[in-house]
Amino acid sequence: MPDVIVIGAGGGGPVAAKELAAHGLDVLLLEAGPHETDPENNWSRYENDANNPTTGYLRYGPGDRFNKPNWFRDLAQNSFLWQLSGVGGTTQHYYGNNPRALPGAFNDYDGADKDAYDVDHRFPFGYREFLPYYEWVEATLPVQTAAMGRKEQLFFEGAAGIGLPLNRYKDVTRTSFRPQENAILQPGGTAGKTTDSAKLTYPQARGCTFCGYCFQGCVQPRKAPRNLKAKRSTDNSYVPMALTADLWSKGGRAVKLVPDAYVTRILTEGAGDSLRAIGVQWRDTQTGARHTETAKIVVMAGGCTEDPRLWLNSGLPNPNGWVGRGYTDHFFDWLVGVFDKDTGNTRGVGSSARVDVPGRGGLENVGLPPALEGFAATLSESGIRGHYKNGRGMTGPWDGPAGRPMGLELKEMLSNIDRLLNVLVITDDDVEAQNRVVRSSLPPDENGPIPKVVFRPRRRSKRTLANREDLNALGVALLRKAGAKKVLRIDWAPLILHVQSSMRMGSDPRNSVLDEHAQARAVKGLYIADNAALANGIGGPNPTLTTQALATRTAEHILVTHFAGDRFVGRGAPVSSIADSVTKAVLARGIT
Amino acid sequence: VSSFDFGGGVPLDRRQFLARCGVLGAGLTLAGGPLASLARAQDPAADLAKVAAAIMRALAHDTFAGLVAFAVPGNDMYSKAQGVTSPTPGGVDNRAHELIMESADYFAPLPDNYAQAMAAAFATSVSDSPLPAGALEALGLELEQQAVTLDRALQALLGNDGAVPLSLLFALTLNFEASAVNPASILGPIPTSPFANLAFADKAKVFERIERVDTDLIAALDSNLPEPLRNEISGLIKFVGGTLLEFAGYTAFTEFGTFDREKGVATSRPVGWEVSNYLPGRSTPVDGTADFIGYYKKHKAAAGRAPKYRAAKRKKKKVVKRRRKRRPTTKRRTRHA
Repeated sequence: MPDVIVIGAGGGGPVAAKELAAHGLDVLLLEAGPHETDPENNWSRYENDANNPTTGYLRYGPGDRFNKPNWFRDLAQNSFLWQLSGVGGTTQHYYGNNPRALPGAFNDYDGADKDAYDVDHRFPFGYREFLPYYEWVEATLPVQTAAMGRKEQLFFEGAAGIGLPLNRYKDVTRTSFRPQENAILQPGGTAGKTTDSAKLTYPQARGCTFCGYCFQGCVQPRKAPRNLKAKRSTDNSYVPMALTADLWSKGGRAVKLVPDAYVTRILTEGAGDSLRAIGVQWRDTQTGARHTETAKIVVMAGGCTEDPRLWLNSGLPNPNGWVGRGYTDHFFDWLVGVFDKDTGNTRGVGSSARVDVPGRGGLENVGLPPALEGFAATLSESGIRGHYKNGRGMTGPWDGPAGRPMGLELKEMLSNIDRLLNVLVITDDDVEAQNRVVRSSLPPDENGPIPKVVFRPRRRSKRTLANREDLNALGVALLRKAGAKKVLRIDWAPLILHVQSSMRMGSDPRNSVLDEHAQARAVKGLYIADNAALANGIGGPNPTLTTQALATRTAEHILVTHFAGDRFVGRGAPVSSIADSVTKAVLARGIT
Repeated sequence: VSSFDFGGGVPLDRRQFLARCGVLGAGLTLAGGPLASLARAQDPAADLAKVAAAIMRALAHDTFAGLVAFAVPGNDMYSKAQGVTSPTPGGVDNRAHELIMESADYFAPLPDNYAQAMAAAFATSVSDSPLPAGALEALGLELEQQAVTLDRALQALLGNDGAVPLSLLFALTLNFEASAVNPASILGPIPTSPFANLAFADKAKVFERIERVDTDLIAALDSNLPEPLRNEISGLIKFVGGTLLEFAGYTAFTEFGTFDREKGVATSRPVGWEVSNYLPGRSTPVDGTADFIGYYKKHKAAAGRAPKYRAAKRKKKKVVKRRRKRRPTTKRRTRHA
């Protein structure tokens, strides 16, 4: 019987698993999707082959993508839920953006603008207390200041041009711009200097090669050990460490990873205040066989949509009704700047530049290849430009009404993909009970009742709506200063990609599922270590780093509270995932 | 799926529904083929599914070709039919409509869930908004006979549990709305799809109706849905409307048209790459680019903490350090003294 079962090997689960295993616990890590062990050969990096939601190798579904259908999720509105299964989860396609949260999202914040945040749903602990956990993860991944390519250069010109100062710190204390803090290894050797594949293999090339395919999974540089791939998705960082923890950590034990294992039920014993998690039931997605496993502690890390599903399908109590509620998604919007010069849109890291606006959210540049650019330009809540507005079609400093270009306008816009510069508007959005996950009334799939995701984009809070408008105006100013000849505002329909807080932690038992240690209030021994545990939308920054820092904090709490271990964060530096000791361990174990 | 009485032929409003969805048009196009063979078949019932599949596939194919021509026009017949063309290749040339169909039909859990509900609705629905007088006759069909056959074919397909092609349901939706926007669209140059016959601006009107959730359509679909699903349908329609536009924008620019799935490479330069000037001259992804410029203002490593958070920590340490330094010094002096 393992000490701890972790459900989900995405952005958060492997962090908790690695930390617990490195400190001597026996950990079982279950992942519903496949484990790709030969990405260099199996990931083509073609857009549709990678991203098609039904058959792409980065889809949400079981392995064997051409013979087993994807897992359908019920959406009650025009929207797109971008989930990924498989070891690495959504970090397989993320851009490695790892900014810290805004201090104003935490309960110790006393700045002059303290009322500008989601004041009713702050983290139940302080930013200062949390900083060592950030630092621990930043050193482990590692997180580095992003290198600059052409699209970043333009973004910085625009940001500086409208008078924003450069932020040289990892913390955000004022409105400012900066290169992203990315979990992407800075380029070394020939990386970023050539298109010649023969010169881009490791060790001649090290770190990011500027290939432009972050969203299709990182395989660069070729021939590099798995833990030295440029992007620090958990399949390249925490998972290799977890699988070799016995080799690089004194007293550590290797995590047992079981892919293709879909957890269908949390097992409990007792009742009322003594209700306790004792294990899980899971289903082999390839054979259909069902298994039961027990453990002292269970950690859920299946993501913001799947955690509520599993909770509700397990019949666990929901006394205050907040299971699945309070889902935040940064209420994205999308600006496209059309230039008459090269923008480098398709080259380099997906995003390496950002603007932070405390109390509002932020902006970041996003580079895309053509099909994703076509998708991004047409995901709208405002109809078709020039034809109908769907009750919206806002006007402002952008050109014409908000909405999607179609036909000749879309074709003309994309006629030179490297003359576009995209700005993602990332809203600091409020936790709202109406945005939620429920069980769908549609028939169940082979793993049980499916989740339904409900967002009401037209009924967001006043602060959320105002933040989104302010940021759009700022983004347009930036693009124009950078030289855009035309700026389109798409008015995105919900793109549920930055997901947070659907099983939120909080200090108030009336509106939170988890306590301040991310333990379920209603079920002892049950923790959550993914984005769902976040108390709020963290002020707008991309959530992965905060989730990983929180997962580290949760793992430490589990170790100390349930297994008489010692605190480890702040007491010495962590082992980096690119340390020689880890590389040796990865090679010795044959992890690819 | 509710039963449907074929005995007395197909009522007029039901015929109109079939025409609106493109089913009658598709049947007309294929009248010399599958329909005729069905008439000659020894066991018509056994061949019904095959006929249904052929007709409905033609319907869906042309409807989605009309959709991708709307998203990214080219110089193909579908672009010409909408009156908006472009001299360079468009979504149809990239076989984007085939990708939409393939993806929709592979979205297999949906037919087991949503699609059963939609199928039930489409299998028995009628419309209260009649077509203009003479429109059906203009199709040139011997309506009594062929409408019965086609309706049976549609019902055979939709009533087949677990095998409802989602692409067909999407196509039926687009065509149903197309006939509402312009009833004459059932008579256009592309008989398999009223939607594909619409002018560009009218196609936009179809999506306007879908995105605001056309109440006629909802009424038509909702009337046959079991209670738990009745509240789902408006959300579904909105989801479908948005997804079709977004997927059309996506598929037109993918590598799909020239991608060899077995080999995992594009066999020639994808149309979507060419029209977007992506990686000029290439048909394969790159391993890297020479886009690395440097670090903005030589900012290569962000400081760990902002002064506000660093200062408080240092202050405490300084105090401790001072005390520690002073004590030994004093002791030493004392000893020396």
